[in-house]
Amino acid sequence: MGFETLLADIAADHKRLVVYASDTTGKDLTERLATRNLTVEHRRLPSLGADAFVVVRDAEGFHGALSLSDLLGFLAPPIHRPGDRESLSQAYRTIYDVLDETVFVSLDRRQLLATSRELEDRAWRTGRGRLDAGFQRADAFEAQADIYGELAETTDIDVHVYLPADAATAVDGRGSLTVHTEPADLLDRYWFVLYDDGRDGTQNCALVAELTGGRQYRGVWTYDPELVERAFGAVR
Amino acid sequence: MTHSGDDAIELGRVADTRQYPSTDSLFRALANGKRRRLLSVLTTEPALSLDELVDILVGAEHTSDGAVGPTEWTRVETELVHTHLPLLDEAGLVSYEDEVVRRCEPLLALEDVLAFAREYEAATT
Repeated sequence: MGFETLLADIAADHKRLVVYASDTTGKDLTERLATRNLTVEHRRLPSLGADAFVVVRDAEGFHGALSLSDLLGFLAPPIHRPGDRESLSQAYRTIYDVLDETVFVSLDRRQLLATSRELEDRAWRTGRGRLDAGFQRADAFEAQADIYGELAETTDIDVHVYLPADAATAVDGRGSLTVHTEPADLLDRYWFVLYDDGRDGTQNCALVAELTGGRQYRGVWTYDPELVERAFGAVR
Repeated sequence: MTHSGDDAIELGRVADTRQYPSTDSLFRALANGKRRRLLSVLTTEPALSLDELVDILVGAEHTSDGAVGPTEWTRVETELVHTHLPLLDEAGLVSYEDEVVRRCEPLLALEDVLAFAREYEAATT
């Protein structure tokens, strides 16, 4: 099972997001969120008398609500996420859970780098487990080579990098990294960073983004251990 | 009911003023923030499903300190169904049937007082 199935499954878990505002605030959210697994609607209620907010619903009904400004803060990479997930209130976790699996956004390379950095930081802070990262080109890897080399050497993390066959020499001299050139078809199309904490999965995270032509990517990031496990399954 | 000028409440919009709540009943209806919000929203939306009304109240009143989940939603729904909607229904301002909340005509006469309450609240909180 590849990334394609994973992304399709996440896309099929359809949610409806409704922005409520007394004016046109938040109307542009439809463009900011790719709509593969989200229907975004805007409801203008002139007599609302409150700041704009967002309600997320799925097949089972109400899933969560948060202020529009909290949502925009959450969506702006790098992801601001409290380090200790357990300390989050249950309600906040609910919305993280909603959005983690729902944030299927269009990102450019700069934003993907910022998001990747968030995941790498998380691995760094945890200091163990396994990190798999795919690079579509040699220069993309070279830009990150020092970070990955250091991660492999200074932590107990088992670091695997995936590169196109003609770029594999870029890793020469970085013996602590495990290099893969397969599955080649995945490397062409996807940018991915997968992290498994090697223990209970509470630190697991994954970013899987598909090149949609030009310089834009569309993808999902998740902290759901089950989805992270499936993402690992696609490259192993 | 007579019209003394432009500022007069337009009770003439309904033929039968016996449909109107008594003044005490009216102010009881207005004496709660959730009920005022509910009435306010219904001044521009003739009818809303109970689900959406709860969505709106939860979103408008409970998201300033972070996200809210289904537990809070259920709490607000219970409060609406057991307290606020029966009171407003009794006052003749809304009807609640088959999970749909509809405004009744007397509610339209409250547009100005509800707008004032929103401005007052915004200015004092």
